[in-house]
Amino acid sequence: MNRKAHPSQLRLGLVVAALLVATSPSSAQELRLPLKEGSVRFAIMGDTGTGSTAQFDVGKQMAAFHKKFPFEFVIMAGDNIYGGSSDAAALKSRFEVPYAALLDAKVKFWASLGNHDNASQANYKNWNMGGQRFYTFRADDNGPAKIGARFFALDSNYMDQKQLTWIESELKKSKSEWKIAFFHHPLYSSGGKHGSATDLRSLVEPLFMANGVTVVFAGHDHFYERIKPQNGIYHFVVGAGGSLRKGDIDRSSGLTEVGYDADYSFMLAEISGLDLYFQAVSRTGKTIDSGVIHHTPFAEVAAPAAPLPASGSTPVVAAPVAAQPPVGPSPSPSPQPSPTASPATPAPTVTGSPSPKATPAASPKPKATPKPKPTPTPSPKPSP
Amino acid sequence: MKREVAVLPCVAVLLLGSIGCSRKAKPTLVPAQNVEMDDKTLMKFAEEVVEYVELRKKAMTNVPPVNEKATADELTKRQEVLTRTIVAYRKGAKQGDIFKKDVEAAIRRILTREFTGPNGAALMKDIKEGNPKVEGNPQPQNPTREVKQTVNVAVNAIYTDGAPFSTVPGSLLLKLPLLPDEVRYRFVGRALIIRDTEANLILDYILDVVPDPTTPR
Repeated sequence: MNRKAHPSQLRLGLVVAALLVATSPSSAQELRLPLKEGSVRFAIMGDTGTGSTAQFDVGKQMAAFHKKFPFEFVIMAGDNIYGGSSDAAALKSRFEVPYAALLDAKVKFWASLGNHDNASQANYKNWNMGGQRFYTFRADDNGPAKIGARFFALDSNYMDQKQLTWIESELKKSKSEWKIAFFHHPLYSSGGKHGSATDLRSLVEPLFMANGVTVVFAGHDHFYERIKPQNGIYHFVVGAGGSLRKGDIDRSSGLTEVGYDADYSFMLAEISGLDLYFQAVSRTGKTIDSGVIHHTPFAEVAAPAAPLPASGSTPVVAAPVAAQPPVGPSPSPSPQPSPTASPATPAPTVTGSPSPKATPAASPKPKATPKPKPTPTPSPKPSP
Repeated sequence: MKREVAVLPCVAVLLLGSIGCSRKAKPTLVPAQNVEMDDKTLMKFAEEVVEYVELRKKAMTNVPPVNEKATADELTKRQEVLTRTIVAYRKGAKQGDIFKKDVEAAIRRILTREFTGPNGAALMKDIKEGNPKVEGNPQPQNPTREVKQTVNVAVNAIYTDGAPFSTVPGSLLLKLPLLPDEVRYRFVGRALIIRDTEANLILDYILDVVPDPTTPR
């Protein structure tokens, strides 16, 4: 079901400043994120827990990128342990060992549960769920903009009224500029095996639209996909952290902005002020997608000069879908700063150049800036 | 069996909220719980669920506590003890103990109406997601290959560890009586089960509630 544009979409205040898509070849482990001072830095992975060589490879890439881009936490889009989820050995071999380097570096993991995960895992200390199947936490940008980001981990496998009520209440309460939801089943996906979770969408999307959710990360379909903005919300499918369905993206769906189903992958993201920079990386360290989402404050959106994305369409520069992993050398243009780098820029229209172009990343240099500590706010204890 | 009224309010009120009194005065985009089941039947179901939750609480007194700092080993140990204790407490439990005949009939009516309604096809597609008779697990040696695990639908049977869990569509959950967090509805093949989430036990089931020949029994 594809909803018509909701008036509240206007209040989302979301425009893309520049999405310069990395469909062009890139060198391994090239960081395209700006590493701005005080920014919120995190990684996203989903459908990881197979214990396969591929999962370990992805874990190694994440650790390698962590050295260049010291992200403080990882959000997990579910299916964290396949087959034997109540088995301590499985938790070790399919989580603690593959991500040992990150755990050793004190990277925090925030999990959501998938359809292969046992609810008892909500008590597992390394996933920071506080015993809850849905919860929220906040991470603050300590840079000049002092922007807050609140994350909502949901249980998409069992969306009962209790959870829906909680989502609405917590979203309404949150004053954070960035409201980011993550859960297992994608509201939009071009997966041949699964595809969009339309029933779930009919229940949660109105809550997201009315309460300012800007970005959604999900898994379930075993590939990477950046969906064309839907009702003003940016959706990513990040479900190839340890599982893969090669060639499963149905490119006739009309949903795909960028898709990659040729190898395993994960994502990195950085929130600095009103910009969310993202980079999707393959198992071999190649960049398969990158860009920036600019989140415009409500007042700016109200300005007539600020065209907003139409429902079901994309306001970004059209980019060919990467059907194959990027190969060959990096493009010669060095990364350029985003044309809309300043958060103070009034409601920019869509700009950018057709691909191939470098992503809008300033010269990346790891900084020793003290990172903000995410502060968890567990959901209220469920009443029996 | 005579039940203590005192144990009812907590869960029964929650379940009875299903009747429709849960609609709040303040504006909300959350749809109301709308269970088409008469009060007497709903109350009967609520009582059985409450009774189970009470039994479970008793079982929990034997279980080593865990907190949010639990290790994998502690979680495993806790689940094993909880499962073993509940199975011992429920010795002799049989099909229909929770889904009593009239409750079963009411649930069948609800599900039949939903599955044959305008969204029926979409709902039946959704419950195939994660359904262990349909989906398997990616294999460590080759994650592109999935292998199914057998789930035995029986009272007090352990839900096969590692088998996936079916989606229960949210719109369907709005038509079924609410459950406390300790237990959940799931589909295994065409059967509806009620499962203890932490003990990983099938508590009761109703066979053949999904009128979809493409879903294995």
